[in-house]
Amino acid sequence: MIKLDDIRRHAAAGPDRTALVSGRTRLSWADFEDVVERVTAGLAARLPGGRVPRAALLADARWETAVAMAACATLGISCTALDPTPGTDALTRALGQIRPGLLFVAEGQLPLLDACPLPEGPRALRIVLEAGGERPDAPGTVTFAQLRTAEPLRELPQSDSRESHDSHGSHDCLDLALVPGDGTGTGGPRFAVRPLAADPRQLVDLVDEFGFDSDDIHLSAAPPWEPMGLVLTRTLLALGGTAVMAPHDAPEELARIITEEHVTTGAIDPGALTGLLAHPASETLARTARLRALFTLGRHLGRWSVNTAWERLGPVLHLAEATPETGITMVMPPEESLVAPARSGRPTLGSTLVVLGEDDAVLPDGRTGRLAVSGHQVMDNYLDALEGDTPFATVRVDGHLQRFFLTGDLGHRDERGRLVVTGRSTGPVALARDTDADAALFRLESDLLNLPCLRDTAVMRVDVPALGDALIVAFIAVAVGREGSGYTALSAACARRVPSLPAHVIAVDTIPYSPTGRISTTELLDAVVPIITLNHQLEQSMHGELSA
Amino acid sequence: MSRPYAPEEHEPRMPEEDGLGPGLFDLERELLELPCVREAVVLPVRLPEVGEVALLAFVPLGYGQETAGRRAVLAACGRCLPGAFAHAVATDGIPRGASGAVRSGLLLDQLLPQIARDLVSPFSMSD
Repeated sequence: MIKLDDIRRHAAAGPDRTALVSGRTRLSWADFEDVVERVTAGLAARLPGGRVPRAALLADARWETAVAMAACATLGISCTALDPTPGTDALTRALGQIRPGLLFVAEGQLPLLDACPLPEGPRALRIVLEAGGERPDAPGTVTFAQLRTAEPLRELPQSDSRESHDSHGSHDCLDLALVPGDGTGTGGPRFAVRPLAADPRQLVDLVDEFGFDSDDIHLSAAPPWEPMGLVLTRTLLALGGTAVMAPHDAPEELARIITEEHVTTGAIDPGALTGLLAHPASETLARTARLRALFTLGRHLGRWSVNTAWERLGPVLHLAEATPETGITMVMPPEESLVAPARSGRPTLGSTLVVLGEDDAVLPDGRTGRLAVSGHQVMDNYLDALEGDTPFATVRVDGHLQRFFLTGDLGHRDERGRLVVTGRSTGPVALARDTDADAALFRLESDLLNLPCLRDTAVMRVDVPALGDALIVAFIAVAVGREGSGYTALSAACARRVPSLPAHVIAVDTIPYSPTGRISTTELLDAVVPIITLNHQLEQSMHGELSA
Repeated sequence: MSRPYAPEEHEPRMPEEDGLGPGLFDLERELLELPCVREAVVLPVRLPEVGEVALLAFVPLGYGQETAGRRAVLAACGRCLPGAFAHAVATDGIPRGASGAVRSGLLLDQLLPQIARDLVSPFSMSD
């Protein structure tokens, strides 16, 4: 994120221009300067020696996260956003690796953080990121609102962070990017150590290639642990543009923001983009919005999304290939993405991509081999890298020896100069499963089909905050007034077959089906989850009263 | 202009320890190219009482296009993984991470009850 010096420069040039928009909050550059000064001063006063080596952030993109990251950048603290979605095990491993001295956490993520065993050593100072939110005093915890009451910072602390975009002098202050697990349950998160002073060159390259400027209003609809979204937001703020933080799970709200805030550029995560394109609210965006460039990670985006984006948003969708290890390496512009094969792109400015054979020699066009990347955005190494376990190779390209990062991708350069990813060098990754639980779930379905006391039933497995990982079993009783026997039979079957998962059984009038016989789980869950949640909360409060 | 070529001729051999390995990535790319489904993914999984399966999860364009989407993903699987046992399941959404990668464990948790139901019903015979 940008530092206080840059914010002051933009605030002096246009104090009333909008810097950040997040929900109902709108910060001008003068407001942004003031709040970053206060939060920086508040942090400096509470940290030992005015700073700690590393901070972690556990929150969605919002104005407080931008302020927190700007304050950390000003103090020379490496601030790394963590992904809460994989759960406590992954988060514990992540915290154990980076050992943050400072933890910014959204109030909603506090239960998850509390469930993680703390790494050894001094306890991190926790900052609860709620605008004006009050939290009962807990040792080592302050609210964001408390930080904002500090006197504005007048002098930067004595550290090596005075110059904008300078390098961190300490080996502890590494700029880290989260490399998530592979989503199969095996392996854990790692951290890529970003190269020193990569940001200024990246800014110049991005401006050269895509023409960003201070008049741009940039949509950030990607979580802060996604590296491309963070890089683009930082770039636009460094230029003096406006960053609009938008929820990535509310398509209607996203469409409204794009239109009403006159968004011109943006970064959106692929899931949010698919949701937006499928929602009726996006139908008119090509006519009503001012979008000129929208970036998303294109590796998993299908043809329907590309075609529908062209129809609904106009020629704006840029499909990028970006990883925490390599930065943004390839981009496919909108016109070409309509006709180019999936998972293809053209190298960005500052990135060199080659296809290597088995002996690390560069292969000619058309030959498939391992893709390797060189450039100023490529990481130095993994934080937990062991000696000899290096994913780099030195390759002679155009007569010069260069250090290349060996990606896990196989691919080739096609006849039009596009790089096409065709496979993974590691082969398919097996999905780690609890086979006993899966088998029990299968047997449960067979059991339920043979129960005579119900007309129909639907089993769904959910993982929602109020209920946790649980089964929801909806059923239609065999006759009106016979719900009791169905409830008893289903509860017993679930307890017998899948004792490891709590089962919430509920009688319904109908179970919605698609024409092919599939249970419409979204429709059914929308109807029953609020009732089950309410019942669950009532039961819990009754248990609480009884035990009291 | 350089001569067009067929890159597949030069594909290196994939690891053979997984029976679904060689064509799995081709299938992933074929599924991405299908315009008749909103999203489609393939998961190589070992299902209880069934064994190794190419599980094809897809989001249809609408209720009316569910059958067409099912046929399309199964046909793609037949082309790329002709020897594999495939099972196609329609779903309302595919959970993804920030990079767009499928959250496979979560998806399978969501789909397993429907798969179990499909496998004991006549509809699965058509797969």
